[in-house]
Amino acid sequence: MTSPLYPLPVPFRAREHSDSVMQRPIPDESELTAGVRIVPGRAYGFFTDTSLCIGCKACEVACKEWNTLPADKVRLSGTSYDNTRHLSATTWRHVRFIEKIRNSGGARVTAMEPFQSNWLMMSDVCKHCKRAGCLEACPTGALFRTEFGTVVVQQDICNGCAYCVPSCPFGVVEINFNDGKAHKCTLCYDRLKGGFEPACAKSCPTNSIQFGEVEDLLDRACKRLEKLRRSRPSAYLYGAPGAPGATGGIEQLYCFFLLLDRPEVYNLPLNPKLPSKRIKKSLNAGLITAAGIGLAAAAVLASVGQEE
Amino acid sequence: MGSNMAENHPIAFRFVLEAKERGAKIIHVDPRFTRTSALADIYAPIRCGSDIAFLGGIINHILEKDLWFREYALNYTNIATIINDKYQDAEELDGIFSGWDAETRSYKLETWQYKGEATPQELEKFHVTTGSPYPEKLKRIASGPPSTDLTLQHPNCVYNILRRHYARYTPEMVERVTGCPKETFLAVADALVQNSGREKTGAWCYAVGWTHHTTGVQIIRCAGIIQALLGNIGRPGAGILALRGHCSIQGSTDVPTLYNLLPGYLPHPSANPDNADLKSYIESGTTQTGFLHNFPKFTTSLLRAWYGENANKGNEWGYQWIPKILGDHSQLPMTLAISNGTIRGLLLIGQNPVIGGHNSSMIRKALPNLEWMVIREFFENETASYWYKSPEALSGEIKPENVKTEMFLLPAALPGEKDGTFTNTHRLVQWHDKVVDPPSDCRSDLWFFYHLGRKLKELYAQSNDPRDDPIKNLSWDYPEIGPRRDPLAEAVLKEINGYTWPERKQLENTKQLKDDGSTACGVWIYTGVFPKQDHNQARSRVADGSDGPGTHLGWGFAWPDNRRILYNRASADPDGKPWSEKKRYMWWDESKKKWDGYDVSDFPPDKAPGYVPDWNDNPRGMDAIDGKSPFTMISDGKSSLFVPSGIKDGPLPTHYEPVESPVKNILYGQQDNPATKKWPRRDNRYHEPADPKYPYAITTYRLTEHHSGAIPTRMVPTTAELQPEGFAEIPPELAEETGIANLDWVIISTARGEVETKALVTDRLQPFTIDGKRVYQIGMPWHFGWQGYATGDIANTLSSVVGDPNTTIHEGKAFTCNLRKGRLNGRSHQ
Amino acid sequence: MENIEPQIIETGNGPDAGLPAPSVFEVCGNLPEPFDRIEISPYRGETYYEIPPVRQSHYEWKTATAFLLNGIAGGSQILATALDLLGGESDRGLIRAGRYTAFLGGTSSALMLISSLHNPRRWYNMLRIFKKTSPMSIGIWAITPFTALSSMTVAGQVIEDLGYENAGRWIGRAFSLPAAVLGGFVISYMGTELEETNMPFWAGSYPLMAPLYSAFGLSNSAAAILAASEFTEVSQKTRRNLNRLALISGGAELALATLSQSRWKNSPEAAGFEFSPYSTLFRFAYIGLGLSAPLLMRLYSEVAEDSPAGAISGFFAKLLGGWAMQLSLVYGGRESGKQARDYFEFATPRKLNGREVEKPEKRQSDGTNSMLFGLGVLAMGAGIFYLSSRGKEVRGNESSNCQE
Repeated sequence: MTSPLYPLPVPFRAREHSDSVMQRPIPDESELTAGVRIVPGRAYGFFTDTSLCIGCKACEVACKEWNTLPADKVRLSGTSYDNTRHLSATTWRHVRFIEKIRNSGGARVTAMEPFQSNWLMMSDVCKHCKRAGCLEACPTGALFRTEFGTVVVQQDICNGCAYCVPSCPFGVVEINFNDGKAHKCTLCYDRLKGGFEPACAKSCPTNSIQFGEVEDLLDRACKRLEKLRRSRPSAYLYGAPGAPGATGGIEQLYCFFLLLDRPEVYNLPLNPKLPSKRIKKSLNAGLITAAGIGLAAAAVLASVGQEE
Repeated sequence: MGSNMAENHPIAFRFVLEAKERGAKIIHVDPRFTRTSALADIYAPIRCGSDIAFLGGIINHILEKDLWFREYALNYTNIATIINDKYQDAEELDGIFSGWDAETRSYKLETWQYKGEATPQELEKFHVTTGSPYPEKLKRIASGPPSTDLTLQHPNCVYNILRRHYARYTPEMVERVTGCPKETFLAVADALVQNSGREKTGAWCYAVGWTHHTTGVQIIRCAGIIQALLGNIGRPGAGILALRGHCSIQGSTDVPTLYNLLPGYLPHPSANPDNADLKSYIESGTTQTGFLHNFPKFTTSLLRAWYGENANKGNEWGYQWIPKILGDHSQLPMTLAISNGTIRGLLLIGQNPVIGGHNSSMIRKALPNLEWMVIREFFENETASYWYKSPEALSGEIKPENVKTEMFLLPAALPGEKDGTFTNTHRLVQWHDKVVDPPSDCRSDLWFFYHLGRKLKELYAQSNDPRDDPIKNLSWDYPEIGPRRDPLAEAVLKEINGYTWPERKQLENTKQLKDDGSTACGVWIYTGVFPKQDHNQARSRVADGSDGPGTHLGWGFAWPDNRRILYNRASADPDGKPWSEKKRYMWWDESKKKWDGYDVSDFPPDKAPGYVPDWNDNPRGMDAIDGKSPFTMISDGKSSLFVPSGIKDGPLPTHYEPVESPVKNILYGQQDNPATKKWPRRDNRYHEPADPKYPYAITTYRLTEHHSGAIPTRMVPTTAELQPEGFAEIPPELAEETGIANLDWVIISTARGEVETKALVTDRLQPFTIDGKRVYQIGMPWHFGWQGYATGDIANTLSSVVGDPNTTIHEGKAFTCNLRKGRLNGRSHQ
Repeated sequence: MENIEPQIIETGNGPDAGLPAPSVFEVCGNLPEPFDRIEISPYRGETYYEIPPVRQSHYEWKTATAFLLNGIAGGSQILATALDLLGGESDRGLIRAGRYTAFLGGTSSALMLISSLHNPRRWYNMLRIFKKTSPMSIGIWAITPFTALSSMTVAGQVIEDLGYENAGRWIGRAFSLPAAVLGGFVISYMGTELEETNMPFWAGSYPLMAPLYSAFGLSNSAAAILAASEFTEVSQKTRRNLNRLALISGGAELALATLSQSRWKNSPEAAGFEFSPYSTLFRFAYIGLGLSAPLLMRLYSEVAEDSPAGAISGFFAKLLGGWAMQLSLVYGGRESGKQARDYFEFATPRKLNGREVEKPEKRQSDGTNSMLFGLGVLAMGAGIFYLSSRGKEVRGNESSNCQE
């Protein structure tokens, strides 16, 4: 009778917890809430389906509450309902609001497109790239790849050099000047270790944010996209292998998105590039220049020497 | 419509999106383009306060195009019923119905009655002051069914009255009055009709966007008429869903906190002669026909639960110990009573009237009249700090040293810090356990009331004064647990469920209730929530599998009797067969001679569709309802398109402008609802219609990021930062005219007061063309105040105290104001 | 903490999700039609309320200064080593000067960087691993041993100066050879470090930034040694060779700088830099004062007699101009990071859906920069004329002294 948007296997053991008295955390709780058992050695991520996002910001709150992040931007921004404006060292989930109430002729629309339209909302997060600019740029190894395929900053190792900050193609990681260290989404590393799905995904009321094994998520996303495209031909995945966002050597975003407008509208680059891809050529160019100047000088010097 | 569901009920909106995925069409009719509109298929903009014109247009469209679900409506509604000859419609009297008494500003209901006899409605018992004495009418019913004309030819049958009443609500008129483009209106109407009938159903969701009007009840009545005409009641995927704001606001009306109700929607005894003793109270509350014939059982069981062994037949089961009401004791008149000095003490629990109450400045100036005030709250809210922090205190209008009130601020526990139940929008009762103990001196409301009652009983134990009997005789025997002496919440739920007396064996369903004192029951509609000594059904969390029926009967408890859809007899056709395979829900099983289906039947389980009462036998109660009348709480078993009694401002919804409107009523000479409760005073002045001094319409609302009056969220940094400051949403066209830029400071003013706030210039608000005239509308969230991290001026400083005639609900969703750029004097330093 | 060996770790690839290799804009590779292609129209300047999509680099004046010192240190070590190997006995003074410059430059640069990290332990954290994917790691692993080797070179120099000439020379040479090789990395890695980020201005300069830094390091150290030559006994031949070295490296630097700036002028991703005061600083103070003026002086001294004042003032002009260049690049990069549009221009592929992407419309600057640039060039011309004419006078006096 029911065909939910994203059918999850409902494990029979849900019945074990049908009575609300709990003596201890439910083992592998994510199996009940996200339909996935969290096992080290596999890659996990988020699929954020913006067509279902209602901009409630529950993810932002859940993230800050779980990770005890402070609120630091208590000011009206004037940019729609977005008052946090961007991801930062203290905001690891962030919902964007894009008002496009008028059509191309300048008139306000009343006939809407199916699912989200005309006021786009999107919950942004660290993409946990398959090849991550921040991780590759980190000179200390503080940024590392966890057993769940995610990218996390080890706070005790981070030396605050901030080189990861401009190395991230998505503006995710940032320094907190209170402790001088880099911070970003950990995909709730601590929760994953305990068998819980990340706080933001768990709190999302409309399943716009889905947590799972990346391969499963891609499969779900493609099915959703196939169906949605019949009514929303502009829909596409951002960050799936080969898609916008997973370009320039980044290969794949473990946290990927279903978007309805071009990426820049959501403040995402169409064709981001992995900086480390350019290192070899760049270093060679520098060294060759040095050598070239040296050779030219030697040649001149040598000729001068002969003259005299 | 009347609801911003995605923003204010995000969790429930999940199911809307699931429905969308299965092909449902989502329509949002709203003055503002909101997060709900963004997820809708059609967004229909309307001017605030013009809902009835829009809905009346839909009724007109359905009737004139003959699009109604004939087989359903003809059998299950009073569409064929013939009304009194003397009835005169608002169309004839330019906006007023027959029976208007200008002196008392109320209607006499005789001319609205069914032809031949009075048919009192269940609702009428709440309105003891209207019409002829109620018991008299009750005696007149039950001689037979009301007279009907199933051919719909009779000029005074409801069908023809409806058609005449809504004839002028054409799509063109809808556009003129509401500002919604005709095409958009028609798209909405078509979508509704296309998604109703045998194969499909549609639902309306509303919230305070409908109720917070002086025509609130009538707006909801419109939806009732539409849904009954389209066959969208009592069926899966159908209905009119009142989205409730708090986590248990439904529970708080069930149990209840309303001044005019006893638990389970029993009327609160009044000081009128017909409530003088239990016998007359029962007589006035009991209908001869229909389910409420069981009224005495509910009443007696309630009294037994309250007074226990002290109640007996000789002392009317303690009926006289219940205090009697004298009139309208709702919040708005109560505020005025404080202002007048009539009320001397105030106990505030979950209320912050300085922000939530209307004409907030008047309230702030009234509060110093109190002798004492007790506030139970999570933190020092605006009501607790008005005397030194409000604009009036800062400006010197209120001098702290002159405030004589003795104030008590008692720390309250949060939901996670106490055991108890939530009753949600769909009447679903779910138990929740305490997660942590409340910190320090914070205590649950249950703890507070239990110990307050205990101490009062101790204080009065030695008294011989009869007026102390209500306290002395109250049964107050809940077990205490833990070092803090918390009363056991499950024991309270057990009493709410009901048990046999004196054995205290838990009752399993409402049928077991007795009127002889052998049962005790706290809230009769909740019987079954705790059906066995050790089984709390509200705790159960057994969901249907993916191939189950989806009614999830094992999940929690839905009152009454764990029923998920009310009036579900209507999900089958008059012969008891499902309307369609797709919409199969309840059906008559001829072989088993009983009603079967996915839910608990809301009809006598063995009453065959062919049953017809034999009126010679003088049938009473459910016996007087035939097998084809699903609406058993109504005495004729039919859904009321036309309401002969019980509603104070007309038998049919009629478009009136809000009390304060930027335009004149285009449809009638009568500008606003004639029966509106108004309290004109020097500090509560109203604007004239189309007053050039106050040219803009304004609507107030809540934001997702803040819960309810934002008490739990403005104080929490993580939610405060998401909507950190108050603002007013202004359409760019108006901003340009007034020279206001985004984030500028603006002053909004009414005859009641002025506020300053920041401008959020946005396309989401739009100008309307009303009858050729451009009308601007601005919006302002009402839940900001001076306390907490997220602050802003109080929007309700602008609104007035004015009430719907039936419910005394204010009109915060539509009034008028003026707007200018700038800041208030002396405030710019903030 | 003890016993930690530097380790080389492979980064990037996490658990392999087993997905097919990507092909640009062919999405959902594991599913068939109809969504294998995404139609995206060319970028037309859309942004999200102009909020930067990337976070800005936190480099500031300390980093810029360290970069300046690095360039001089690395280049000096290279030149000193070259003189040591190729030069004659009369060049020992210059070798000494070069070695000391390399040591002092390297050390002070390291101190500067440590100070911007706030805590020396954090430097140590960077030495616990080596990452070839991180230009900063490469840089640290160049600077640290370079500075260590440079100090050993200086130690050799001290031994030599104490009179143990042979031993000192061999020690110095043994350490200066690897130091010079590392010096190549030290002078060029900074360009790589800037390029390999997502600051659109820096990243858009690829691949010219690293060569520019290389040339910068060599030409600045040439100028430094040339200035030092005024304080020690040097043969005319060496002096002329040094002048030519300065000419060549300075010419290369000027060529690279001019090439870069003309590219920025036309590249949409550098608009943030172009419209900022930093581009003026770059053109006026660096190209004008720090590059062109000293270069003209070197040209002049090719045909006429040079003066000590010329070499020293040339060096200081280069030093100041170089500092201005470092500052303008560092802050210009940050500025460009604030421009949402710049980054999106940078992140737009040249080809989309198989078609060439339209050239974005050029944004117009208000012309202030070009005006200032023109003024700067004029002022520079005047300065050069003044300096060189003064130089002639001095030299004239000197030669008359010699005659006596």
